Amino acid sequence: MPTQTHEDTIELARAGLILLDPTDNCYVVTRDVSVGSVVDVGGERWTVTVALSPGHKVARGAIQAGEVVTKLAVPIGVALVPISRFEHIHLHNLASQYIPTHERGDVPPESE
Amino acid sequence: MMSTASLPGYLRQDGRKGIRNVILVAYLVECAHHASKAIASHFPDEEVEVIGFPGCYPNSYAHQMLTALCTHPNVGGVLLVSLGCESFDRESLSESIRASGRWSETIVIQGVGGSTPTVTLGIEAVERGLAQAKKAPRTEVLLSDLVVGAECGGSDGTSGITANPAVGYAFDRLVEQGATCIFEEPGELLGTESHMAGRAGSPELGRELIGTVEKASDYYHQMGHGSFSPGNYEGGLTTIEEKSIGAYAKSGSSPIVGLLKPAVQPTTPGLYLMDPVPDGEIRWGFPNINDTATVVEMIACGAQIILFTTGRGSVVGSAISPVIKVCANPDTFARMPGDMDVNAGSILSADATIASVGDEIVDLVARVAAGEQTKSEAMGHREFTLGYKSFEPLGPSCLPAA
Repeated sequence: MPTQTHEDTIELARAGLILLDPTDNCYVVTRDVSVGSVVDVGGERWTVTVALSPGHKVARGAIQAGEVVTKLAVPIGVALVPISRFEHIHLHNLASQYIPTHERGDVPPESE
Repeated sequence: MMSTASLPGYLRQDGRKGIRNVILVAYLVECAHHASKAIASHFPDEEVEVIGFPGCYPNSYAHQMLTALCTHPNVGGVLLVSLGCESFDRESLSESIRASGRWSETIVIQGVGGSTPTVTLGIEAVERGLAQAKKAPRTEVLLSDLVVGAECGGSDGTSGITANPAVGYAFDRLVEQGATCIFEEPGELLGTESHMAGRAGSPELGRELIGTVEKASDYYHQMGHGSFSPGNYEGGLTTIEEKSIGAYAKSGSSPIVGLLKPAVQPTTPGLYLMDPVPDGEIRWGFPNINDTATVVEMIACGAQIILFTTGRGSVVGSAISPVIKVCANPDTFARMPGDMDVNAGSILSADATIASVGDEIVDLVARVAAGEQTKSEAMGHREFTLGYKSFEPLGPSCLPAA
């Protein structure tokens, strides 16, 4: 169940992050962050290396290659390489356990 | 001492409790739609609403849907309006309504002399119906008396991280209180089926849930509907299972006790998946032609309240059961405040959490059950749609023992 955790939900929100479930190993970004900006996450400094927009994910802690990434307590894929805290999680380091994600160009033109 | 007349609920003969006491004017073919609207429009200050089935050729799904809707706990009585030559079995529908203890009369347009006599007679009939419906015994309504459905429509990137998890949190609290909750759309749950099966009350139900998602996947694939697009990953979604979690989040974390099809009543409290995707060969096109089709199907499963999450800003309400709009996107909420009941987008700023918005939703559910009108309800939104579908009966493992 999504709920309050030992991490201060409000401090995360001030940093523009949501932890959707206390068991998740990723945060969801809630606002635009630009490269080089330094975000204060409850006193910890997160130096942003990739521009991110709302809806993108960053690692909550170190994730090993082969480890399952969960969001809202549900597996969303397997880490392809080691991922460090606050590193962007996306197509380059996470693979579906279900079906491969289509890159642009692979998608039938009639799809939305 | 409070008199029972002031209690918010309406106790029906089958033991279910209504939170509204609607008189339906139901057309049995599109040709009777206009007269039905004309009758209902005579009662702007009463709960008189129009539903119906436009088809002329018979369809057992539509018959089951109208039977379930006309005997829904929020309904106090029904006027059936038939053209006369359509094939809908109006006698059996009328018998089912009267057997449920409700007022029902039927007007056949061709039998009474056309449109104008139909409207005149219909208005007189509805006045009798309203008087009968007001005699329904009143009762308290607890959260455990409620069936609550969850639908999402007009989704955007915020839906899966604000409104849907908040509805999931509310569902968990409602289930804890003994309520019955329904989520839907296996076609949007691709990649979550093994997780969902792990929440099922039995391995057999788990296999049914997986089969339901596979059926939806095949159906939509054959219809040419893609499931994961570049726009999704540009918005930060990496995998199909992650996209599906946005919709899946509405289900919360309770065990899944059963699988429903439209118009099937839950047998026990708890959390159910409703499968609106037709069985058998593909006919009649895309199954869920708009959000209202699925809302109506959850109402036919007994839902007295619908939680409707939206990011871009849906405005629909529904006939029969009030719709609570949970707005995922704070910009949409600011732009369309008159349509939105809950601002889940506040989770994106520092002033709210999934838990606090979830609690707000549960509180609003309780107030709406006690008679408070939702935004769409107060504005007169009474959307309704019903088309052709075909279903096979549920398998033996789908419903928990009552």
